[in-house]
Amino acid sequence: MKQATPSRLSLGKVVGQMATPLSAVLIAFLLLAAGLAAAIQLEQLGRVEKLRQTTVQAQVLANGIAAPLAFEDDVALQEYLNALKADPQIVAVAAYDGKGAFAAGFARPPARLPKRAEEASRDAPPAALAVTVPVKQGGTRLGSVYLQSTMDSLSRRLTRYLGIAVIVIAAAVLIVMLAASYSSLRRAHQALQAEIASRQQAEEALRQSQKMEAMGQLTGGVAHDFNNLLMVASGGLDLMERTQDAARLEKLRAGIRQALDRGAKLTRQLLAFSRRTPLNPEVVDLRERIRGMDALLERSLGESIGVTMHLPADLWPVEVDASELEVAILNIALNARDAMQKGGTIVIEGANRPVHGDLPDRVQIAVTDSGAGIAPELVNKIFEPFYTTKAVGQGTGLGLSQVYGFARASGGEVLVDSIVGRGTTITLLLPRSLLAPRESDRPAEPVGASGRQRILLVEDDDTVADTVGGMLTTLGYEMERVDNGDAALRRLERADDFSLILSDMIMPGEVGGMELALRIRKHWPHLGTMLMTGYSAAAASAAKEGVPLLAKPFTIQDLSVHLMAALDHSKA
Amino acid sequence: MDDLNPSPRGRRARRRRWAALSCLAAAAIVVPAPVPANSPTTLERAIQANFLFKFAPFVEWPPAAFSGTERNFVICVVGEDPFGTLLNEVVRGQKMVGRPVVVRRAGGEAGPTGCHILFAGHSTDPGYAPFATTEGQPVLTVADKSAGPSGAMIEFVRQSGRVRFQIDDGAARANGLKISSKLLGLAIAVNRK
Ligand SMILES: Nc1ncnc2c1ncn2[C@@H]1O[C@H](COP(=O)(O)OP(=O)(O)OP(=O)(O)O)[C@@H](O)[C@H]1O
Ligand SMILES: [Mg+2]
Repeated sequence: MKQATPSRLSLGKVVGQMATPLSAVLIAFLLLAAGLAAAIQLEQLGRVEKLRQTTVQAQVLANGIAAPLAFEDDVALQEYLNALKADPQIVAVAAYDGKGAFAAGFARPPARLPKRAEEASRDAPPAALAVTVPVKQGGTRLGSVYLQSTMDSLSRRLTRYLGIAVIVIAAAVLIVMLAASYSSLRRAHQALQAEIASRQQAEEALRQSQKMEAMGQLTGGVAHDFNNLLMVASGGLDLMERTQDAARLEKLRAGIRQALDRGAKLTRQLLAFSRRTPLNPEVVDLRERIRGMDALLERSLGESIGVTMHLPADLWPVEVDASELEVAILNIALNARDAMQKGGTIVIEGANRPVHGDLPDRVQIAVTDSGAGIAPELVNKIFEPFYTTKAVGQGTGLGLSQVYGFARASGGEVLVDSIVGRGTTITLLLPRSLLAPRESDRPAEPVGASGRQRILLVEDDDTVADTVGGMLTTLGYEMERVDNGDAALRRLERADDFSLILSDMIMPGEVGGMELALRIRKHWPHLGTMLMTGYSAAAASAAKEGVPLLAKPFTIQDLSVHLMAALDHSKA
Repeated sequence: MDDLNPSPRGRRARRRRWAALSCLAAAAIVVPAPVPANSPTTLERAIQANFLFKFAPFVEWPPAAFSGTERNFVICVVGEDPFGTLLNEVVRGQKMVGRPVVVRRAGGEAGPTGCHILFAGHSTDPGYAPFATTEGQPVLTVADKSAGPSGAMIEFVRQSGRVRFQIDDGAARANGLKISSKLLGLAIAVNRK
């Protein structure tokens, strides 16, 4: 099937390409034939008309010469005949008396005069425009007149048709030429289209490989970072066990909390980063987004590089693919790091750029380093894919091409401002969006349960169950835990005295979280359900079924807010 | 222009001369009768006979001229007949306004009753007044000016050796005859009064 497609396609293409020139040539030929037919038709009509004219002329002559012929007035007769000499197309004229004997006439060679009237009507060549009409007076036949004329000379007739011929031929040539240029244009168009398709593919592959490359770069750092976080957390716990000092306990707890926060943020970034999605524009608050990258940047850039952000609160929103934006900023920052071998500070500045000339409102994000700088002659090259000055294994040359691709796809542009030895500023200009950014879930104060609410927690992992159960109790909910979906169903069959069922998605046993949620919806529609997962594919299926979802890891604030929403929803 | 048709006129002239000679020879044998000094030659007579018949198509007779019992178109010859059989030859088989053409020789006394064309020849008769009887009648009267009575509507004259005619259109109209302008145009003189 796959192999058949190209050959059929190329055959279709050939037919398609031939169709236009062929039909054009056909049309041109038809045009020429029609022109020729018209000319012949005209010629024939002209001939008939000429014959009619000649007959009329002969009749007029016959009428005029009746008396001179009858009374043998040669002078008058000759005068009548001579009058016709003025017409160059009349080549022979003769008058014959009542007995058919020649009376008078003239002929221009090569035409010759018939000797007698009978010969005149007999001998006339069929192609000649010759007529014989009787000379009659008062019903008596007095003789006859013979008149022979020619068509216009060939050259005159040709000149008459020349105009039409030129027009017809020009039109035919024009058609053929148009068709030729059309088909060559179409070939070019097809080539272009193929080129575009292959480029799009290449771009897509590029973007993907770029992501993977960045992923790879990150992975090392992330693993290392997680070890550090785990170090802080486990060390902190150890220390907590050994002290009773309230102030010190508080400090340790805060340290552990911070480490875990960073870990959660990091994994979220990684998930967003690895998601293979096409440009998926959303209205983004740049200030919030870029600020949210601090942990990622810190992690990626290493200890010798500091990051300073100047992002005004009134920065206009933009409509871009948020994860691509983050990758772009990360790429620019990584380049800045590489340019500052001895360390330094990267400044990320945001500013609004109001309408200027025919440029619309735009938002500018400038990333400045104090690194090696870029030589002016190289400024144009750095955006090219695979252009890199870095050692093999150090750089792929895809970073800035992603930045460029992102900016273009978002309707913006990238500017480079660099002085060798002093530093570089890479500026992203993105068009302003007039829409308001989606309200993001800002960390809110945990909200306690209102009234007596029982929650059934379905979770196979004891540690997680303990943590989440602790959170629920802390928030003021009554909580009961079961190990898996089957147990949950059994428990509900006994008594459905819960406000909400909070379940993990992936669990051992026959009934998974999703299945459980669907069954509850069916048998106990008044019960609310909420699922938790750290697995993004599972999250997508929950979203599809419209089941509220809590992404792991979550804080107690997250839990409280989501619970409130879900309970609200199930009550309604 | 003449160079384009060098021959016809000359040839025709030669031919006519030859015809005239042969006719003269024939006349000398067939009609040896003496003729008046200014009487027409045989050739001229032949031409006149021919003309006499050919006047008819150019003349329009009033319907009354054909209302009688006569079924023919009648050419009458009175006085001396200069044509002999020439005229009969000319009209043989001819038709005029759908009627066979006949020649009637009235000898002067029978009068012009039923005649459409009346040719009056020479006469020695002192009381010879051929046209008196046709006064007011639709009869085309013809005579030879030099050898016949005067007062005909059409009179043959000789002009540079050729037979021509002059027309009294006034008299013709007075008698109800309409002579075609074509014929009038060919006459050497026309009396339109
Ligand atoms: N801030 C900067 N200062 C100096 N040179 C820069 C800077 N940014 C980019 N460059 C130059 O541009 C080149 C291309 O950058 P790009 O990000 O496209 O690729 P890379 O950094 O070499 O590789 P990759 O980003 O794929 O790992 C770099 O190799 C570097 O020479
Ligand atoms: Mg780079």
